[in-house]
Amino acid sequence: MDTRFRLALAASIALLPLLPLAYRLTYLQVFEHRSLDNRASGEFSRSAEEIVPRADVLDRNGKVLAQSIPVWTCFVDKRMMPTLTADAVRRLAPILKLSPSALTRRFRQGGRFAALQRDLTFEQSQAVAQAKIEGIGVSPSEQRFYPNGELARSVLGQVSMDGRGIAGIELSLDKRLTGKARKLKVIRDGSGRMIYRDIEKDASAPEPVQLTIDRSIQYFAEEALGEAGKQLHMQQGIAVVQDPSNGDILAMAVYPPNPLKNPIVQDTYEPGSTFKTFTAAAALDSGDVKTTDTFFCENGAYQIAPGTIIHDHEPVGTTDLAGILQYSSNIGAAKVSERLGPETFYRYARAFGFASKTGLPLPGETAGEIRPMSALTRVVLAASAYGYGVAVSPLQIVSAYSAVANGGILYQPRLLSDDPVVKIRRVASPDTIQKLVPMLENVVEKAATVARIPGYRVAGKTGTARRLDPLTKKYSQTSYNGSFAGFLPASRPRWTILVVISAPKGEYYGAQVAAPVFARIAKQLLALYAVAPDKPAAPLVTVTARAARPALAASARPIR
Amino acid sequence: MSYNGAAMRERLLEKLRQMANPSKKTLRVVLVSLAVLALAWEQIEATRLGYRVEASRRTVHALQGRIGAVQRQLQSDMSPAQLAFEARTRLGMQPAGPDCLRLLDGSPKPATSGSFLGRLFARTRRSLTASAT
Repeated sequence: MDTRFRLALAASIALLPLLPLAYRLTYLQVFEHRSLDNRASGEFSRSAEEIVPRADVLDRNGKVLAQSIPVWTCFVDKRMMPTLTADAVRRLAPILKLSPSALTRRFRQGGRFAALQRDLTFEQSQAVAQAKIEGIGVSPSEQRFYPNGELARSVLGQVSMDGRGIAGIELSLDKRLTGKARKLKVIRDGSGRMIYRDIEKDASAPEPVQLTIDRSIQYFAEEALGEAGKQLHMQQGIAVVQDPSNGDILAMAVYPPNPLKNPIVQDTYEPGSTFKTFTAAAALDSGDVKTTDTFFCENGAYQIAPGTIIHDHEPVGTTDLAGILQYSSNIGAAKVSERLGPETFYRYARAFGFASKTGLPLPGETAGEIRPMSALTRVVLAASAYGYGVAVSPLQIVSAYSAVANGGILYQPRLLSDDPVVKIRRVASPDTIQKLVPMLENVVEKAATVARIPGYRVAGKTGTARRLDPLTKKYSQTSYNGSFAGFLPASRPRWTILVVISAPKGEYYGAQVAAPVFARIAKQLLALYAVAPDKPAAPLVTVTARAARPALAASARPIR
Repeated sequence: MSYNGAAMRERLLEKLRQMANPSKKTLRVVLVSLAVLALAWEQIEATRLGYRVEASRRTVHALQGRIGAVQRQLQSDMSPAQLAFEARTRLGMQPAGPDCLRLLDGSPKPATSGSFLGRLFARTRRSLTASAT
């Protein structure tokens, strides 16, 4: 054996133990590379998400109605802290502003992780971090904050615990309000500290949403409704303010405030006499009735069909269209509808936007209902003419009144400032509106005098309607909707206001319960915008009427 | 063994010449070493900056929290209900009605034209007239 061979043999024997090692290394590096790499990445690399706050919701003047602010949640990892020690309770309870028993109760909830306290302030989160209690941590999150409290909450809606919209604008514009979170690639060092590596996916911050709501007007409406609520102990009250020149919704107030529901768009009601305005508009615009035409109102009771009698709340003799509106005669409205016929009535009702959704970006909007033309029998047509047997949303009524206020053009109600102003159609000629507006002013001057504002021309119509009892499906004998819809200043209307008071206790007539709320809102608007008086000295309209008998104790029963 | 000083000097000079003109192999080794050093430095620097970015992110978030808290307070204080309450309770103010409006007659008149003295004189005369009436 030569020396070289012996050396090679010795080296081979020496290196032999390394062979399994080399094999193992090759196996791990080549065959198991992917799975081991993933495991290592899982151990050290993390994908962290950076919260992008939900967009602000602003009013038409840029005032904040809803915004998201960063908050912190204090949590416990029960794997690191299986039992809540007395020392931890002693140190945490004052920071989290919880009693020791509440803290212990929260500790027991949930699985491995339990939230001990949510919505912590920055100072609280710092205090928790500085306490350095093993197993206790803080994680950032965001809280939806409504700086004006319950103001406009029926419009704004609500977000869930995880920050998703569940009602109102928060729901309907959820995608627009939610941004895309920034995803970061980070690794953790031995002590668990994060080290930034890269941006996996960049964030897209959402743009604020600007509404047409005016915070001040909304406050006036809610304050007026709140006052009425205290006095009338009503079941529900709503007030809507709209700009008739473009359809902008300036205020949507609901009493009691409910962030989960907006009855102004989601609910329907029978408008009662406020609907007579549209019957009168249809009669004038179609040419079927002239301002000088008179109607005999049967002195308060009219048998329209066998077994069906229409009543007025006060007996009226012969009167013209202005008088029908002034005395709010159901019989007069029924007789006008007879002259109109079902086809014309239906056509005008649809033209004013009833039985159609307005397209407002709020969830659950109702279209309401008007009986189809084939179902408009003499009795049904008569009832519809004075606002019974039709189901309308308050939003439809206020938009239709705005069409009267602006000279006959129906605008699509607008809630988002960046939406275009949409003229839907002309619903009545300017000539018709010129005749109709003084009649509505006359209503305020002679009947709904509570809605009068010294120095200003106010046009409007009251409405009082029995409510349907949901159990018996019959009209209630004790529960009413009192409403008032109008606009001002009548010479150049700037605001259309609708007030509906549902099931008030005690007084219930629209002139008694809704008109004062209307007047209160209107006065504040006039003062806020310093609108110059526009009232002329001369009388506006002359009503031809002969009272038949002294007033009877009559009710607002529609049909028997 | 004889000492050849000249030869020794010659060898030394040769060595120095070699060092001054390194071979390609030496150059490669140096370059690779430098590259390794650069990579290591980059890694260290990336980690150092990573810590700083993380710290900055935490600071930004904390500051956002503070801003949020201040904004929350500001917006709450500026809400119409709060302003109305403060105006009523602190200042004794009442909501204004349209009857509170004072409308001025006519349109505003321009200041009297002319020289400075002329305008001053006109203003003095107006105030004197007002005090006399």
